[in-house]
Amino acid sequence: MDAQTIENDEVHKKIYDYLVENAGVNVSGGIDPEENLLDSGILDSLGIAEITEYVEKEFGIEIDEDEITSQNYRTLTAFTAFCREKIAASAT
Amino acid sequence: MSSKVKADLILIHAPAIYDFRDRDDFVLGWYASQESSNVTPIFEMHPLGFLSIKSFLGERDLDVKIVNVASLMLKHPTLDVEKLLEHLDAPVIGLDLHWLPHCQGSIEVAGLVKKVLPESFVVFGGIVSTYYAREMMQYPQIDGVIRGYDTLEPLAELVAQAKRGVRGRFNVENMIYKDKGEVVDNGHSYTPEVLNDVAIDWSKMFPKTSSLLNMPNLMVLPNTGCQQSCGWCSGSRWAYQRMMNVEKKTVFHRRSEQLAREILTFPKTESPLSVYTLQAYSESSPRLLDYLAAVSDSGVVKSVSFEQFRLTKISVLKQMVEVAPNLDIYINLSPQSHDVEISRLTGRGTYTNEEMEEWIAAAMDIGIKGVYLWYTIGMPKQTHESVMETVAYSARLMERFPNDKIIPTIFGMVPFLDPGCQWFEEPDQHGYTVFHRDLESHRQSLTQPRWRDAMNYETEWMKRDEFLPSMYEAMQVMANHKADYGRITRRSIDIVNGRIDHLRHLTGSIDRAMETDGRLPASLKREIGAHNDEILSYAADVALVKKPLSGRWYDDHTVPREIIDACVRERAAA
Ligand code: B12
Ligand code: SF4
Repeated sequence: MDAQTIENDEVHKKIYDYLVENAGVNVSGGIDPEENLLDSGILDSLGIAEITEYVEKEFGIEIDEDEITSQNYRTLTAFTAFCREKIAASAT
Repeated sequence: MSSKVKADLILIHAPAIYDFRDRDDFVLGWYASQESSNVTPIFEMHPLGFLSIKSFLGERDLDVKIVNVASLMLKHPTLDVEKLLEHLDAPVIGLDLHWLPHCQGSIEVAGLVKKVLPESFVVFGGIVSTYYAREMMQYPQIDGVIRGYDTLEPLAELVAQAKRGVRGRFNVENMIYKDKGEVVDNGHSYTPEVLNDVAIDWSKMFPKTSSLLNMPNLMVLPNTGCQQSCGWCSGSRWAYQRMMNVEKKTVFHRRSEQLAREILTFPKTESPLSVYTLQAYSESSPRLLDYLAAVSDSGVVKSVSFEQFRLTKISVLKQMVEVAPNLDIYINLSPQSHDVEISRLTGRGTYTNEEMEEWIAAAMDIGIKGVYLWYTIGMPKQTHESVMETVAYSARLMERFPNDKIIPTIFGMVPFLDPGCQWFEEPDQHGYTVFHRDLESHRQSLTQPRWRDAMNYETEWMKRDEFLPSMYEAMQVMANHKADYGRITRRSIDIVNGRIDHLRHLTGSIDRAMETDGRLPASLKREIGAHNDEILSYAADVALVKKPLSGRWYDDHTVPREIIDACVRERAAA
């Protein structure tokens, strides 16, 4: 496993842990990476604002309002991929 | 100069305080409780009536434009408001003074309007304008006030006459105005049975953006006035009978056809729409069910929330869920206190806590999505101890319903008791003392450094100095209970605790400085300025985390970019 992957796993784990701790609904059974975060109520409008603030601080990235789309926030997989891209972009 | 915003009538919504951007001598948002709407402490939401006015006059070929000065100032911090107003061109300029917290801002902005557009007729309207109409004639910048809960016909008349060049002796019902310095009162005879008889067109109200933070939360108002007489409300039956020139009938409904037409204009947006149905407690069950079915059929709405005065019959709740299976239905109850005696004195108290809890359990069982409970500080016989018991009761309630969306909220009735409400008019009989009576003293009070000087009342049971400490403690303990019971996140609670502690520190430091020196030291002013800047970047108050300041229906959709650029540059250069 190279350094990049370790870092990526870290991103996934942090987002996963954050969601489990802060979900708008009971997720004691865990969150499937492909589960729709918006439809399931795991992320409501306040939750979206909060997780945005969280990842901005945690990963030192800046997210534009226009990037807060259902495409980027729909699932854990999509959101992690989006954050990774932002981290990579901010590192260059 | 760049182009102009031209219309027959321009409606302006001013910030609660002008100019909030330069103020470092009082704390913005010390009292704000905008949980019901996504606004900052300058209250940048304009009355829904602006939209009715625009549609109604539009049907008569009168062009109305809405310029939301409050939201433009917030969005463009260096906007030169005077320059912006120079770009407006209309024979009539209307401002709302509907909510008393706007009494400073709207009068100041009217002053700027009069300065740069001396030929335009400056007219006011709204609940507070109706109450203070005569006193408002003393301000040189105000030419007229149209009184009433519905001003569509009179305003259309005024604009049509002004457009024809009439400048005095207006034939406009409900208007009090100045004609060459003389005050002319046309009386208050226009009291239509049907409220705002026009449909609002929501289709173009939300900017096209795919952002999930675009909060497409729209509001439908099916009626005004009220059947109830809560002593602290100027929208009550008691107040309407004295203020709105009505007798038996004190609730005025809109026609169902207009509501249906309005629903058809709901736009399809990226995030599902939420609809806040105001004043639902004055609706009959058949009308409520028809309305719900129409919203459900629109196919673009995800959730609807209603306020209910009594515990709606479970059979009706069942029907509500059945006619709208695709909607999340939320209900708002406002017992005001857990103590039923206090609740009754406020005009509520139609159910006990036990009855309410049984009702909540049944409502959850049949598929109501959640219940919001509203408690208020400043009620008769209510002490600080009683307030904290309400908070403790709320915790027990959340414990009883661990997995349900039962969300209690408490806030203070600050800084004002409504002019025109029963307790304002008959304070002694209800244990109240009123400190500011006229509009001018309210206006001046809002920019006093000490928060207590803005308060226009106290009660036998809670003195002015006690309100803020009680409110902050109650809000903080309540928020911590909410975190314990999973209603808000752990992260939010850190923000809430930090923000309330900071507000306590600032308001306390101001009190001490004013007591010892009668003025604020420069270092404290810097701290206040920094706080004010920060709070304005939040579309929420002390109790919530950051929300976006864009994508809201009441933000400005009128002033073109080039005008804004010109005004921003000019102020920055100056
Ligand atoms: C609906 C409502 C809301 C909605 C607002 C929807 C909206 N944007 O209009 C929500 C829930 C968001 C809300 C918020 C607030 N509200 Co409110 N609200 C009400 C309620 C329940 C009904 C109001 C109503 O019937 N409006 C319909 C009619 C009267 O108004 P309209 O159609 O908008 O406009 C017509 C007239 O008013 C007039 N008009 C209005 N503006 C103008 C301008 C001109 C130039 C002219 C000519 C005419 C005119 O003509 C219009 C067309 O016919 C009343 C209680 C009641 N029963 O009245 C409280 C009430 C009006 N609200 C009140 C308050 C205090 C507030 C807040 C300040 C509370 C807070 N601290 O957060 C905020 C302000 C929000 C902001 N500006 O950002 C108080 C006002 C008391 C006072 N004297 O100030 C009331 C009486 C309730 C209470 N006792 O607490 N509110
Ligand atoms: S506070 Fe009471 S009187 Fe006022 S609108 Fe609500 S129910 Fe009616």
